Amino acid sequence: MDWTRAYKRADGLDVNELSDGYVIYQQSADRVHYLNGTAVVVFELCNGETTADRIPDLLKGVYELTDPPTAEVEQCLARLLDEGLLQPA
Amino acid sequence: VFQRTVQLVASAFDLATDDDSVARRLDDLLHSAQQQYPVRVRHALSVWRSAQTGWHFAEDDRPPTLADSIDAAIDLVDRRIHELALDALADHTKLHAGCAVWAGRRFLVVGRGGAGKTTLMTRLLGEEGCQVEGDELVLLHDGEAVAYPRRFGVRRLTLSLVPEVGALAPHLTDGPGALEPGGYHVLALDPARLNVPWRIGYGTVDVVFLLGERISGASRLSSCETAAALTRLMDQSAGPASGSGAWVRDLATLARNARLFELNVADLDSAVRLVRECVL
Repeated sequence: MDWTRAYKRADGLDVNELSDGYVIYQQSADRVHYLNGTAVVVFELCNGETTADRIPDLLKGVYELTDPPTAEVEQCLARLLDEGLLQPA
Repeated sequence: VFQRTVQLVASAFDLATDDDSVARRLDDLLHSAQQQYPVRVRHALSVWRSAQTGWHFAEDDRPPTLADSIDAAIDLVDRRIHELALDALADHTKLHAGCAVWAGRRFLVVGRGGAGKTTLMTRLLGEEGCQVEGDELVLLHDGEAVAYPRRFGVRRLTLSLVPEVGALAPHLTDGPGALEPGGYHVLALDPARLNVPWRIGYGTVDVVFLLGERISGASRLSSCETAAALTRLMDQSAGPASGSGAWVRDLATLARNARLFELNVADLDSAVRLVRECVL
């Protein structure tokens, strides 16, 4: 994962909103993914314009954290990329 | 001449025969549920016997087909009305679930075969104000649910749990798949025989109960996380012909609109009490 890059949603995703997350159908892999609330925020921040290195600071503000959750964001982004839900913008 | 119209959700079937024994068999086969769902398609099916060529079955304008026996002719009618009815609902997700409405609030009881759906739904038939719509199959589309009208398949072994139904047992005929694996004998129950109106509406779902393992002691209700509930809903459903995206969408809509619970049934009375407290 490259912190200097911006990421965006992969093509061919059916995103369904739930009360506590998203359930996503990925057409290309015929797979279903569940994203919890935090993963949804990271996923939504990947709008093709926001670079990855800004996401920990944005989450720090959203959740009123004392430190930016850099390791958690890295893990989440890596997982979303690995699963094919995000792609480089 | 026997003529009868039966509705299966979006389909209406005009059935006709000139044979008394076929008429009796068809009467045994059909349900008496009153349905609100709008009929979108009609079919005409008929069965008759010719002295020269035997049993004939005809569907709409198709050429008649021969059947080997009266049993084969009845089986054809039974198979075709359900195939055609479900074809007309090909854009729906099919969910293994019982369905009822209590004080205007619709709820589903979801579980695999043998989990106890029918036993619980049958027991609920006796609850004042609870309108039980179906015991086995629910169709979902665009956030709405409708029970598929089918006589309840009550296992003979569970009749003692619902005394009102047990009293009817001598008068009940075999249900679909009358002998299940494991030697269970299934009887077909039309809820109207319990002198309760059997009406099937359609609409959004307020509560989903996912049946868990049976337990001893008192029945238990616990909230169910959405992700876990979705996995179980997928396990107990089949998607529409339009593909998996629509399937996930139907289940996600259900999970978003309804409260989700796991219900572990011990005795039926405590299970019904929990359902009532949760739904009302």
